[in-house]
Amino acid sequence: VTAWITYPSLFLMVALQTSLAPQLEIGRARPELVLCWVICWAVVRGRGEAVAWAIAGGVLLDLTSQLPLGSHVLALALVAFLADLGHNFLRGSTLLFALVATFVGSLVYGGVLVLFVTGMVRHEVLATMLGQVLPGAVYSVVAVIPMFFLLRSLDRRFPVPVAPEW
Amino acid sequence: MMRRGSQLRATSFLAIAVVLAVVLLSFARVLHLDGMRDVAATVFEPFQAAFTGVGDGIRGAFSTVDSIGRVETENRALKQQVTDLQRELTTARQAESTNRQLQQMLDLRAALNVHSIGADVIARDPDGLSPTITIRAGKNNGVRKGMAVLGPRGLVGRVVQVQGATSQVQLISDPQNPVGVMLAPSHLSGSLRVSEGKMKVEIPSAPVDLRINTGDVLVTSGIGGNYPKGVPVAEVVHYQYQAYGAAQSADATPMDNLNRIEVVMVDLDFVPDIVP
Repeated sequence: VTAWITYPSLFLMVALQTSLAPQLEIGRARPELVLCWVICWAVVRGRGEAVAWAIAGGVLLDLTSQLPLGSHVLALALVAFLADLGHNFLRGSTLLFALVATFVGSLVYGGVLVLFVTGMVRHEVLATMLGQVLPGAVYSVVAVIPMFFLLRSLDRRFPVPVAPEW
Repeated sequence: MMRRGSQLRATSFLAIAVVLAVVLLSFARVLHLDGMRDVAATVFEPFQAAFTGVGDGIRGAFSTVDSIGRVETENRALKQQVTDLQRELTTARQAESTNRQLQQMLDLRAALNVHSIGADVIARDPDGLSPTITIRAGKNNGVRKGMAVLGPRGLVGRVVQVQGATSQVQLISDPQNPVGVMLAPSHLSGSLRVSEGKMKVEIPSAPVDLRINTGDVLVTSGIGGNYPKGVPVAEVVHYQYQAYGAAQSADATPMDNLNRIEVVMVDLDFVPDIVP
């Protein structure tokens, strides 16, 4: 069932990310909708599902971006893995965890992409991180709130099947 | 037990992602995977065009709500009437803004004496890290890789990818896309590039009596063969003479607001020496 939700929703998020999100830009900050979606799923569901979402979302983002192919796959999967790890470690699906995970995840995601863009030139990395990625992380924290509640309600509608105990 | 299983699954997916990323990063060109971007652009195009329209609507609605707030404090009784008028006004302003942009583009086209094709901006890059826009004009309209793209007042960027009905344009705000320019008043050549989020023009071997004024226009020099010569690109916003530097630099801003540009035109006459 989740596959029927996953792929259309990722496609929708990528389309929104490339068309609507730039219009909601404040300064140089814009919300990372695909990233928020993947992190939310990791926080709500765990079980490593979000990392698989991240691969699909990363491929779609790679195809719509001019950054090197593979850069979004790597950045998004890394963040999803860390969020999933956090979910398992804390055993939590709270909004607070989603907000913290989104903020930290946005910085990691942005950091990886900035390295690809700037070619690791130190002052360029720092300037882009402070001027664009950090404000973008704050913006994404706001954007993740409605997504968290939406995905939590989806998770409750389609709960993880529990293995029988013998 | 379940926790361990999910951890194993997550680690496996991460390993797959890393391998996939390495393969894509290393062999994308060899395997001609860039062609997939053309397919993706074609598939996403109708959705992006629709959502861009929604975005315009949202921006218009915000502007209307803002106006309502101000008017409400003045006169509550006229709220509904003012709301309607504001909505009409917003629509009229949007139309006026578009008309102005189109008129400016026509003027620019006449001034530069080029054959061009107009196109709507339908999407932008997902992260804002590699500034590109997607426009609704492609191979079917005569657009080719490397062609210069102009906004209402000047150069916007150049075409880097072309599909049947859409193209991707690398903007001049991309740090990887320096533009050879010259100061319109003095014809001194330099290079315009974005560094640390700021657009700067660098003029090597500048004369000691160099004068640059705020508002001086920078036009393309044609050097490097990437852009046609003489197209307005940016204007100087700040300059301070550096006494001990062989090169001089000044802060500049693009002729057009690249974040808000809605319509562009592609210069069909210009064929670049080096196709990106």
